[in-house]
Amino acid sequence: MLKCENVHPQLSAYVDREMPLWTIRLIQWHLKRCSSCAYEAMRIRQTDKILHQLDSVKTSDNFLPDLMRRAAAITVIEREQISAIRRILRRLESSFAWLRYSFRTRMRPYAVVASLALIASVVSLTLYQPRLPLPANDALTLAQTPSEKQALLVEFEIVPINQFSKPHLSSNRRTSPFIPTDQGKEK
Amino acid sequence: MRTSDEELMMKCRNGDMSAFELLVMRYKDLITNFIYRSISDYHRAEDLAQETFLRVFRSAARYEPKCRFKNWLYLIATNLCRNEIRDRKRRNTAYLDDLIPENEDASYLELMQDVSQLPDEVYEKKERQIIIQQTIDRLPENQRLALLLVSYQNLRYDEIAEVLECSVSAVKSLIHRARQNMKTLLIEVGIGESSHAKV
Ligand SMILES: [Zn+2]
Repeated sequence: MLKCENVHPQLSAYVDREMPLWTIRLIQWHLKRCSSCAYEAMRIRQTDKILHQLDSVKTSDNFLPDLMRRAAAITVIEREQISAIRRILRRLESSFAWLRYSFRTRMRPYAVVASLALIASVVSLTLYQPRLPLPANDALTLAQTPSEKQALLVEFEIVPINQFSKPHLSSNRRTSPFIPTDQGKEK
Repeated sequence: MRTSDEELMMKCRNGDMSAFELLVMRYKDLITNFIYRSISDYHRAEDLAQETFLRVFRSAARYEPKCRFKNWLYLIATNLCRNEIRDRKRRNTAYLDDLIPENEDASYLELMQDVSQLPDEVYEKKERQIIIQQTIDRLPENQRLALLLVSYQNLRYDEIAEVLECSVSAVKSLIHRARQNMKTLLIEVGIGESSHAKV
């Protein structure tokens, strides 16, 4: 005996006859005895009837000639190009099929070693980065708060240029005539 | 004897334009109707129907007769409809967004202006049709497409599954939910009897 909660979700497929004949018979048997499910099936049919009240449209008269003209403009060359690409793809596919076959039968250990080597070299190349010198304005960019930044900038304004001697600049790359350093502060 | 679509398509693959023309003749109204019901815009529907057939023509070389032509054709049309629906959503036009009722009213008024000169009976019929179409528009994309394919295009569930690229059980559930939603929405707009009038 079918239960209503099982019949309910099947009713749409029942109306569309999208189920085996024996299920249709079972549902028919249930509908004869259950007014609630019978009503639901009627509502589905009614909704479909409402949908069919929409008039269908026809394509305009110039649809076909227009389309045929556009199709004719798709040149033979384009079609040939597509088939050429297909030929290449097929050839590629067959070579890959050979590779797959070789891998499965003979070349598995070699292939594993080769792919590991390839992965290792790719990883090391990606991770390797040449060391760059630290930027000269480090102190300013490292300053956390606006007030710190402001303090640095204010200091810059009051440092007299003649306090920076040439050997100083060459001995310490971080010293810049524009940004004061700890050494600068000591002076 | 009627040449099958698949045979015509194989001829078309070899560059036979008359075979292509025959295929277009067979399906142009069906496809245009399907697209029109999906996007509610006749002129755009014609454009997309043309695009569907041009895509068929362009990819004729790739066609394999193991796939049913009709399903393949609807698959192309459905994908074009989906793109159109998504583009419109992105452009935030009135059509599908029931969150913007004032725009819906604007498009409704625009449509009604075209039919307001008609005799009462025809006017009422047209008005009803516009409301039904607007109700279809309010269904979620996949439910709408599934419902249109089963109700207007008479596709079987397994064919719809191929077109919508999902399982048959998913189609079954989509159509069930589409009909449930449609029923509720129609009652909301005053078409179809309310559930209180139970027999
Ligand atoms: Zn029941």
